[in-house]
Amino acid sequence: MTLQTMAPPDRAVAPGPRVFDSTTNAAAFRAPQGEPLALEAVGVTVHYADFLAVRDVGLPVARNKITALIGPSGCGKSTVLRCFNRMNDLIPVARVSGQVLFDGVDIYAPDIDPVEVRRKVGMVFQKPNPFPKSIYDNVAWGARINGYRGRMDDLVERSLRRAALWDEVKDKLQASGLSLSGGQQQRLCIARTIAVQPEIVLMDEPCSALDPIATLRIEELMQSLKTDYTIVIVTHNMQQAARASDYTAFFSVGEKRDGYMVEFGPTAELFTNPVDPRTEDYITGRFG
Amino acid sequence: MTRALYDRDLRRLENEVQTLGNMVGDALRTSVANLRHDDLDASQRLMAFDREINSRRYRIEAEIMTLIATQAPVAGDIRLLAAMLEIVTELERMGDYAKGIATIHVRLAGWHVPLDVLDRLERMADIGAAMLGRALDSFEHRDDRIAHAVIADDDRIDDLFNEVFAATISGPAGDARAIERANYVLWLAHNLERAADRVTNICERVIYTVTGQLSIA
Repeated sequence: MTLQTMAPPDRAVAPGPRVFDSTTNAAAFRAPQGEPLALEAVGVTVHYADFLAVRDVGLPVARNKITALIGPSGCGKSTVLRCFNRMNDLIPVARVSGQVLFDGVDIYAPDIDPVEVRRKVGMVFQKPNPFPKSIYDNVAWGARINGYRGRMDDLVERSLRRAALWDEVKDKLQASGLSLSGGQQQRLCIARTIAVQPEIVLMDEPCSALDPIATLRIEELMQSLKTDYTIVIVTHNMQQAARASDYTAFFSVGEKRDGYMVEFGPTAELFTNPVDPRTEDYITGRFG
Repeated sequence: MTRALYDRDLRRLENEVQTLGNMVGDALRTSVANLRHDDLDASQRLMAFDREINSRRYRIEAEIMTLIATQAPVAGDIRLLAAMLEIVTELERMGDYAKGIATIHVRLAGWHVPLDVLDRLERMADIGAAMLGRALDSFEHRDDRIAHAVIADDDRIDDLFNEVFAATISGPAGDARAIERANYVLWLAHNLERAADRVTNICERVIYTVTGQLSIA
């Protein structure tokens, strides 16, 4: 079942004109040209109780591409990422306005099931968090609770191969997921995420706990995964954004600690010729 | 300001590029002045001076590579460093043209370039060196308008080259010695014409540094 079929026709919202933040220079928005969008944030604003965390974000996510969200701490990039699969619903004081369009459907519409959203839009977290179960069960878990009817052994192998982990674990599938190295654990979490066949994979600083070699393996894996999935990654590592992503969104933080998007564009252009001086200052390390 | 040491290195490299540019401009003017004064010793010294230009170019290039490898430059910084890599290459080649003129002077062995041709060669050297000076200014001040104007000046050099060519090619036919000398004169003019072309390349890199656009409209 797709979100599209879940939504009644009047909920299908065509992507409208983008809402620009007043501090965003329109020239600093270089939209994906001729690419279908997997997701689009339209005028997304998030409050935590009375605190304005991030405002008026208009962010397109091109299908089968990697979009990186970068910016200083507190700029709202992880908050925006969590909007993409309604993870903010789990924070009682969080309030989201605006729209997040998935196939033209607002995932925040009242009749949308957030659990279904999270099946279509999976997430990999900063710290590898395998369940204290076997490698096999870690991968099979999500499919089982979603009532997967195929051969589970095949799904586990396919997911582990897709996550570039199979060769390292095929002889110890019953070993605990926690027995693996950090980089292997993160790839296990990626295998677990893709086992439920999402369309989009969100990654929240997935390499921040990994060494440089394990980091490069994850980045290579992302390149191979994007043929089947759309990836959105939050990273503090600007070189990682430059190396691994197709599009980059730069967020900054205002005087009242409110986050906002400053610039969006193809990564190669943003890192060689940013439009907004705030982007230039941040990516060249002359921020703050 | 974060990255103070990195910024200091970038500014120092820019200063070294400016110094190299000034040396090359001087070499170009001097090469033709030596012809005017038929100062063979000075031309010999100019030929040796090219080694100093070359070594400065390679030193700057090595430092740029070190900054790229160690500082992960992006945005305006990587455009600046990439532009400087090109600019020092162009400057070094301009130095080679000045050396080429000095070498021809020595080979002419006391034969004097006709005065009307010499006047034009001198104007080519003056205009070329002035173009270089303005190109270096445009680089220092990140002023792409000046860079565009300098590129337009190249037509004046081309016109002078064509005049030298016409004056030289109409010399006596069948005289092997005269043909050899005419050939040398054309090489003198060619060196100056190519030097000005290198200035336009430098200007294109200045425009790239400022605008991020690699080709000029």
